[in-house]
Amino acid sequence: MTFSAEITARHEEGVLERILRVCRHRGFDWESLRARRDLGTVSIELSGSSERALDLLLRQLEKLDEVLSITPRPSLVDRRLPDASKKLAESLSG
Amino acid sequence: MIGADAIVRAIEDEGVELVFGYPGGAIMPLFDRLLEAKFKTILPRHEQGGALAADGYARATGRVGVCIATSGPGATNLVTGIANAYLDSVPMVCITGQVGQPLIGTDAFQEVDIFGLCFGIVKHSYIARRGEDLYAMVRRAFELARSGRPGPVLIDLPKDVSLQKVSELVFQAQAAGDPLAPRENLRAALALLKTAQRPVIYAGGGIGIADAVEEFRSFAHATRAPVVATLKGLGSMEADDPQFLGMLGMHGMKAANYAVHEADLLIAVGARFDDRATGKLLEFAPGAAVIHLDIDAAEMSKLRQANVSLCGSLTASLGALSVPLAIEPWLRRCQDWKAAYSWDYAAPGDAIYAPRLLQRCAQLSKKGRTIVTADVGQHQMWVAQHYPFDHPRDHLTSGGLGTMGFGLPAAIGAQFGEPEATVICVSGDGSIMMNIQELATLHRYQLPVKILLFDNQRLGMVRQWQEIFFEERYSATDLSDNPDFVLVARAFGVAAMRIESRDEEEAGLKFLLETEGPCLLHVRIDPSANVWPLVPPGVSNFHMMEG
Repeated sequence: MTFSAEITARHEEGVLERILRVCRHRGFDWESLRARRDLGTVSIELSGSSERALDLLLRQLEKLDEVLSITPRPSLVDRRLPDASKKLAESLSG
Repeated sequence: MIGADAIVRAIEDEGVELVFGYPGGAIMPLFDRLLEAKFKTILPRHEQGGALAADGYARATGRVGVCIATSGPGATNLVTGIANAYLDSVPMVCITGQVGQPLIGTDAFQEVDIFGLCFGIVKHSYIARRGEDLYAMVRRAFELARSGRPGPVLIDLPKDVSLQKVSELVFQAQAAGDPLAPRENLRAALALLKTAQRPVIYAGGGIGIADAVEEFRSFAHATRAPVVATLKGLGSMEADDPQFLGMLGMHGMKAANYAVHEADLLIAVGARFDDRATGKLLEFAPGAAVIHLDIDAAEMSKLRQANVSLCGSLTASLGALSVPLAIEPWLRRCQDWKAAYSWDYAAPGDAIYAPRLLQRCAQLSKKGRTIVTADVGQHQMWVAQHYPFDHPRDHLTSGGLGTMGFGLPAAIGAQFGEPEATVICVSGDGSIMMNIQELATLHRYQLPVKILLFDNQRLGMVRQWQEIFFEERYSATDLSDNPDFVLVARAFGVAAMRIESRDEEEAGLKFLLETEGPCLLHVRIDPSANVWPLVPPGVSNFHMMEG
């Protein structure tokens, strides 16, 4: 599953590291990243791939205090939440 | 006024009564100001002990725990405690000293990038850059720590920032109340409830964290559905409530696991489908629809697809779902399981049987509030199985991280937070060694913590797994060279006694519960004793091994 999203966040020290760490830790590999600071905010265009559903990533990113908004790019989104949840469950069941 | 004063004022304005702190070079300006603070500073003997004490304080009281350490090794020694709080959603504010800003990034003495190290184990974190920001930063840290799903917040404090002049203390509160679950979701949940024939309520640690115990019990009693609890959900129902089937999962009660396996509706309340609770995820509650109540949207359908998600205030959602259900045949079936699979405390031989001793200890300690902290291992599971809890805040156990060494410092924090309570730390010979230096803290502050130390001269839980899954190949689990724990305790100024056989149990428990100051009861148990039942890894909870 490929994904793409635009994230707007307050520019605070470490915000980009925090966002990328969440992506990595939750099983989302980035393939393209553009980040731009504009006064007190940072806009990040992020795309990549994962076996997991995009909602799993978006909800974790929404918990970050600096994150103001997240807009998935619909043309590249494959949410497949139920199947992806099942796939995760299968992998955990070993 | 300097930056350090601003921090002290912020902590005072949060109504904090005490912090756990260990000084050092980079944090000295703050420690200097702590001398005149309105709150007390408690000195542990290891920063990890301080962090875990702040954690235990927060779990027992519901207030934010605070720990302070210096830079470098002081900060890294907090890491396990911060991770422990993160995984169990415990509200904490952790302040670390840091080298002066011109030195940051130069590999200076006692410099580590604790801000970077902790990204994965904090709810949020800051590195302070201006003294003027400190007051608001600390106040905001408290807000974040306790709001929504609680967690630890780190503030890294460069030394020069703590010395900067500060002219004013300004803070704009941002906290809002918990959101309410959408009405259409509540309606959908009610529809599922009313048609369920075999509902089970799956109670997690979120109930206690949300202070929703009364609302949860009202909901459970209204529906009359059987209730199972996770390790941290224990106490959400009173232990002797007829609806309560016990803990589910890897070392859960058979009745609880069977009920979940046969359920057609699972109502998950403040629980997160952790692997210790679910066993093989694909075979967990295989025939059940799921209603999931939680404050954290990221938990919804993270591991198990929810038919209805109720993300928001637990107290509000539970009230809306409190409807009577006509499920008598199911109730009878669950009660039959509960009766058929109740615990058997008759153990052969003369050796002390830990589950029975715990049960007896609970009977004898029933006056006023008793808080039990557990370390990690077999004794932790025996406490969960056999010590009856009537409130989640009475059972402090490291669930998510499973931190050996948690028990004693957590007991210290709990005793400070609830000075009138009886606080019992149940530990093992492996775990107690991990923060044994905190016996000095018990003595220093004369905290009347009771330590019940089960000693099987093994890393018991690992030994059990090696017996069952590694063909009895015992690698690094022999602790038969333990020190004399009675002498060790007495060397720290803590009264101690040893018992080794059943006929000594009553005298030992009398010593434990009636000694006025801190005390330790060293209990020798059989090294081969195992925890049952056990669900092996990768197996459904339906298939429980029983020895």
